[in-house]
Amino acid sequence: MPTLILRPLKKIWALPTQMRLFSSEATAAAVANNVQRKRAVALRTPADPLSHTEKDIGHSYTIPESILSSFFSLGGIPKTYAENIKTFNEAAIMIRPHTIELLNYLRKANYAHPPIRYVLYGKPGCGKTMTITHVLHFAHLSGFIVAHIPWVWNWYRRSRIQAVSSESKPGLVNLPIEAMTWLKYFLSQNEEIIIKSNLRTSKEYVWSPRETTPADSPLIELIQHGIGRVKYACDVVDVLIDELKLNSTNNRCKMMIVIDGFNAFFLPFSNLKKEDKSRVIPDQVTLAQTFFKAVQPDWCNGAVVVTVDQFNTRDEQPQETPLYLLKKRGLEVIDPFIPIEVPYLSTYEFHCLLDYYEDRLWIQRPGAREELEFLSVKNPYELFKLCAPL
Amino acid sequence: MLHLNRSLDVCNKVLYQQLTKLRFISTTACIFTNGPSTGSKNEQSFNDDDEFRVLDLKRIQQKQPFQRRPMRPKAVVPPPRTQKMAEDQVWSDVWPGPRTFHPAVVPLPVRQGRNRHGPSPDKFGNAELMKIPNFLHLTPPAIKKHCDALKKFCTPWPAGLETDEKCEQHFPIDVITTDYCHSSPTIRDPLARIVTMRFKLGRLPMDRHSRDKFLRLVRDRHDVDTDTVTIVTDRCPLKTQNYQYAHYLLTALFHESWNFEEWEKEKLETDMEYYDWDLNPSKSKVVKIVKAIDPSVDEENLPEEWKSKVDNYREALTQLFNKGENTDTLQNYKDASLKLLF
Repeated sequence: MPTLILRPLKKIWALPTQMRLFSSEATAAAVANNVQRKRAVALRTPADPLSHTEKDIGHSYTIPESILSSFFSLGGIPKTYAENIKTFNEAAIMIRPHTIELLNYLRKANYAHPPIRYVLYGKPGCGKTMTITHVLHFAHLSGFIVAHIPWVWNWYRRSRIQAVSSESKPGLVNLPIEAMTWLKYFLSQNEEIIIKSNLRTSKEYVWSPRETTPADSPLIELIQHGIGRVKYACDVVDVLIDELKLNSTNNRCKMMIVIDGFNAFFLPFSNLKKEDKSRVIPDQVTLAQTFFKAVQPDWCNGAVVVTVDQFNTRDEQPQETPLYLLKKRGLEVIDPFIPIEVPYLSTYEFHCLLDYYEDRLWIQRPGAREELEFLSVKNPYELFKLCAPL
Repeated sequence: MLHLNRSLDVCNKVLYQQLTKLRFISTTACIFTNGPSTGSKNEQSFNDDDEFRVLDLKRIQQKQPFQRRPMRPKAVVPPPRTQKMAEDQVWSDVWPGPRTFHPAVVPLPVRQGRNRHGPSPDKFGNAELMKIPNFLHLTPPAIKKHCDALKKFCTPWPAGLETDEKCEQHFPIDVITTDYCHSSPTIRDPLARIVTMRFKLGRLPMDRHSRDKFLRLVRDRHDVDTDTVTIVTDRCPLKTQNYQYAHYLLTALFHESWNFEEWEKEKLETDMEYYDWDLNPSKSKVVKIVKAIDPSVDEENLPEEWKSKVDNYREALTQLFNKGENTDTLQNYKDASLKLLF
């Protein structure tokens, strides 16, 4: 018996020495390679999004720690990117041409006119949500109040969340917890600016015989009422959007509506169930109706940026184009809009991104760029995944 | 004794046969022996010798040396015929009709199939080449020969039908039927009754309504790319009947599509086969935006500057719906929106 145990042990001991030998050889080769090649250094732009121009395309800029811990404290950035912030020890975003295009539109738009709607579309992994993050940073710095929905489908995907029939709007259903969570998120992003602009309600809102929000009370109180009284959270969101629209029309503030995955509102299905276990269609939810109202061009001093995503379909081979994803009904809600394509990386951007990865030692053995280009089709997310084991 | 001997002999023979079947003993070895002898001699020794034969149970007496079975002579395969072929031979004589591929007859170094470790397999013993259809009997000279042979049965091409366009103009309806010919007891084939009729929809005098109704009636029988309608009739037992039925269908479809029924007035915007901007909420929204941007404009009569922008936008959106999304229509739409909104 003892021999039986000893034999495999011996073999196990034999293996690491061999491996060590191989790996040391490989490391030596890699080091020699690095010495020959000289690791690339990423191009960086120190400026903030307010001053990003065409010259900065391909450069990376860093979202400062203060913004991350305040504006993005309750999320709002994509999950994989949040992980990367830890990995790279900085929140860097590459400045891309379509983002500059969008920022230029946002800069030159006439804010006395109704808000212009921008629809970002593109293949998965091209960076629609990263563009949104960039734009959010821009909006925050330019003094916009930001009403951001990080991912619309999150409201609809969990079947255990029960949709409650709305009392104020018959036929529609409320998602009180979701609305409360969104109000918290909204407050975390905009508390400062709402207090600073001293925004107040225009009229009295009666929630119940004992609960009212009197006219000319601060908006913060309204929001806190929604957070405290979850039952009325959906109605508070509705009222809040109305009040904000009114306030921005009266030039007391600027508002930007940012919705990621907007076409999820127009799907013919969702996972939600009502009390009687019947399925809910996305636009039966009061929150959806509220944000349909928010994107209408009947107010001023604002902008609307939405993305359409082919993850929000169940089609076998979906397209990424806006009409296909929004369908006629969705297009009618948001037209006339300005479609902005989020394309694959250009060759220049591709090399810039790889330089960044080499700079941050995400790629430890540089080279094989043509292979990477071929394998990733210059899709940034695919490229990131391909570079992980390098 | 003789009797006993004989009966023993018979017994032995039966036993021998059975044992041989069961392969307990070799057919070449002898069982009862007095000396060195083989099978044929055994018979003699049974009869000739007077002595008792010894039962050689262990077969130690004699073992036949192992004899290799003679090799079967290899088939003589002549070298492939292709080696002897003259370069200027008449190929259609070598390969006159459709035939499965034969490597020794086709003088081409063709290869087919996949081999991971080297070049793909050559033509000899290649089943893949035999599976696929070949057109080796349809070489241009062979076709020319055929045509030349058939020429004497042909009449001259009618004057005035030189081009396809002229043919189409004078004969707008194509009728396709098939005759079958086989060596079977009956000359009838049920497939011969099928009649296919084809014509261009554009040749029929139609307006917008009748064309739409016609398309709804024929459904997928209309090919959008070529504007061709194909009607296949096979419900009658005879070819002539199907032919007449196809013509009847064409007539009925044409006149029915020109009819305007009372219920057709109930057609809604969602039933429209094309996108009409003026009937859609998009129009009122755009007008509202224009009004918000420039409150001085009259909604009914837009000034020239705005009218061109709005018309441009209408055109782009209609194209987006009617032609489908592609790089061009999307870019058009973007340009139109930018003009309208900035």
